[in-house]
Amino acid sequence: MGKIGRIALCLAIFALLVYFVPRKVSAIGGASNDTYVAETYTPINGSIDTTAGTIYTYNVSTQEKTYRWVGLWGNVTGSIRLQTASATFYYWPLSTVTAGSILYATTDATGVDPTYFYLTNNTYLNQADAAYGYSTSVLDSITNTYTGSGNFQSPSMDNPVVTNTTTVDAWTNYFIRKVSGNIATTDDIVWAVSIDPQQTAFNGELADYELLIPENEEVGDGEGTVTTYYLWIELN
Amino acid sequence: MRKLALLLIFVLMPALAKVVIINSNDWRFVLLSMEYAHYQGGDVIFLITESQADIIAKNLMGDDLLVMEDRSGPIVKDYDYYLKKFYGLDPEKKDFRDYRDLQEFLLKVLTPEALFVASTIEPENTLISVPLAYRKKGVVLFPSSSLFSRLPDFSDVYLVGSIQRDYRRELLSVAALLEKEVKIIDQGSPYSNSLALLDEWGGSPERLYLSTGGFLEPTLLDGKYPLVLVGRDSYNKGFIDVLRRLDIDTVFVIGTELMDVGRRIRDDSDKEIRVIVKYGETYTAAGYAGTIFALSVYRVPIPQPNVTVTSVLYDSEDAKLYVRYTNLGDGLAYVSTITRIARDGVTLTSITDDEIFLLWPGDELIRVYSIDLTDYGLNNLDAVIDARYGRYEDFLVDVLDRTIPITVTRVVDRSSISVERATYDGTILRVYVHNDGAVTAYVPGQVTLLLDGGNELFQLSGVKLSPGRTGVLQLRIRLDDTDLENNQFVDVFLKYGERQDLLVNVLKSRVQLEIVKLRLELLAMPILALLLILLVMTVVSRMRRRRYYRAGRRIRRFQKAIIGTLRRRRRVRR
Repeated sequence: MGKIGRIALCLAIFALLVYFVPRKVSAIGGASNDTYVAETYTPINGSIDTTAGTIYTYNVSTQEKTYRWVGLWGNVTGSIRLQTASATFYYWPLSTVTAGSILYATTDATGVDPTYFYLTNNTYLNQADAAYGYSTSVLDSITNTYTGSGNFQSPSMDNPVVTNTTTVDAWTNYFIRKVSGNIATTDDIVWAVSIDPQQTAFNGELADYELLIPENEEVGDGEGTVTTYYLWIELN
Repeated sequence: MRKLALLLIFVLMPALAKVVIINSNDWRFVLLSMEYAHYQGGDVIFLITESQADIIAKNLMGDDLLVMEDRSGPIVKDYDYYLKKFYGLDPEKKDFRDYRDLQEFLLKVLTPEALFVASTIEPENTLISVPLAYRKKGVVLFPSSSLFSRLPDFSDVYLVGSIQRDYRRELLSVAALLEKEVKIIDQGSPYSNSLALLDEWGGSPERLYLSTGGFLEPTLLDGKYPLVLVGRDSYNKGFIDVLRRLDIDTVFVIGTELMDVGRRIRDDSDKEIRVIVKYGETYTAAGYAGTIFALSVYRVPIPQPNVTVTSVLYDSEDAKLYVRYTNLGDGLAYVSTITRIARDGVTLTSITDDEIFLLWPGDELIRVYSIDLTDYGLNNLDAVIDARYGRYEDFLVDVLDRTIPITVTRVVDRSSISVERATYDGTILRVYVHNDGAVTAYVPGQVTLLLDGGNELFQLSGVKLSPGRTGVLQLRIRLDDTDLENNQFVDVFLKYGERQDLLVNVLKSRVQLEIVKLRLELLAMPILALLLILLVMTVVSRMRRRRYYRAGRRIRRFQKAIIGTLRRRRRVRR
């Protein structure tokens, strides 16, 4: 028998051994079976937190603008729905946003923090006009619009700050600085309004707020350029 | 369409110094690009759809534009060329094969001091790591073998969440060789991990970002404050106490859908905690001004459970209530429930399920409660289900609140099974189940294994058992010696019933795991066949050689007969 034949014979014997020798079990196991029923019940009236219902009423804001301003108005104290790109909607139930909550609008994507709100005056109004690319001399510049003055104090602020204001129907709008220094860009500004439910808006309908925010659409300047404002609500 | 596209626009103010435009369908690529933008000091724009990308293009301006493009899945292929050709812009472009390629690029161009490694299959763990990574001047990266050689470069190394076992072991081995400490943050759910990461922040941060972890958004990842997770509907039990203990005075809630959660935090903290919700955005160009839209975010693919109740049956003879739960989502769900029995909105009694049970995606489970409702009368009874559920047992933040009429009926099930044994052969774990009853039984199940110090649940294959027969439920899994040592006994959880759509019985069994030899007999037959072929080939070869040998002898004989004695060839020696 040649070399290959001998190797083949050995492998064949090995394979036959593997095939016929019974496999061993190194541990013999057992099972304990318990029929299981998950139950405990309280045969008395229980106190259970329930989730608030959802009300599917539509009420969002609309607009009115000049070449330099946009007006936001709408309801937030009732139910509200917001549309997304996928055509789904978010619904908030009644009383999620209560009176005295503050609506903030800013072009800064990163945040609004009332701890770092600072006073405003005519100097800062002029700086704001520059940041938005407005001449202070035009009739509807920021300087010529936020002509009032008043204290702004959000629900969480210990002390108010003096700010420039303007009144839009029943609502006072606030021009707030969110940097301690000079206003250099639009991101350094917060526009705010306190939620005052069910007041008469400019069109005779009931609304919870109106907020005037700048948008430069001057011909040859900001015309056709989309500006994004981010909206925050500080809950009362 | 144009209106819809407008919804997705991000900040495009002329004052922007640098804009990083991320062009990828892959959230991992987007996240890594955001990290790059963070260290380059740029604002970030996500491309999400082609139409939105076009709107973005119309409103871009300035020279300092950078397009980060994912060649394996861009939203718009060659977006830089698109910007040049149609809008006259001149953006810089950096394109990468995929997110791994980008990760290698980051390792080359950035010099981070800290490394956070998080799994790609748990995006929330990645997101919660980003703020701390920025604070430590580090980066969050995904598992990659190239990180091993870079370990000496990092002063801090973190593993966050569940990391693939082999990778984790290898990284820890390399770190041990380098005597480099690796901090493992793996407390169970990403929520628990986010709290654990707060311990690394260094003192109370006082302010937190709260979100679901289900999307990328610039504020969330600006690194100012730590990110802690809440649910879409609610927050975790004890969360307000956690906030108080951490001296948190302000929470920034990021996400349109989280207004309710913000409201609850404000109320439940007795208005001690300031709650500010980033909920929407508006685009004030002509024609679109003033309309408020939901916040634009880049969605991260996270499996979501969706638990509902499909029926409630009551068997007055057995005095048992059967509540059938179904998971319609694509993520597994741990479920904790309270069931109220009510009539006309008035609660008569309630049942608290004392166990958090598990529902796999697409699966259903019937919970059975012993309760006598006859005293209340059986007409017009409702079951009011108040359930909390979530993908993690310690993070039940999704809410199910549903009222469903109770159907009074007779539920008969005569099935009976028992577990005989469980075996493991190096590849497959088998659970042998015997049908002790007189009817066919349907049996799906789960097994719990202790792996890397924690219990993990695995779904077993289901089986249909005829009376008196034994069937096998299987799980293909690789267990090493340590795992086998830790799993000498395993817990088996079986649902069963005589109706496949009404598995009303549950069997829990603790069973010894038998280690069986590899089944070499399966290899025997192929080896025998191979040997047989070899033998045949050998024999044929020999026969052919003998044949040629004989033919040669005949030729030489003929030559001798014809030409006489053969002359020998002389070898010429040189």
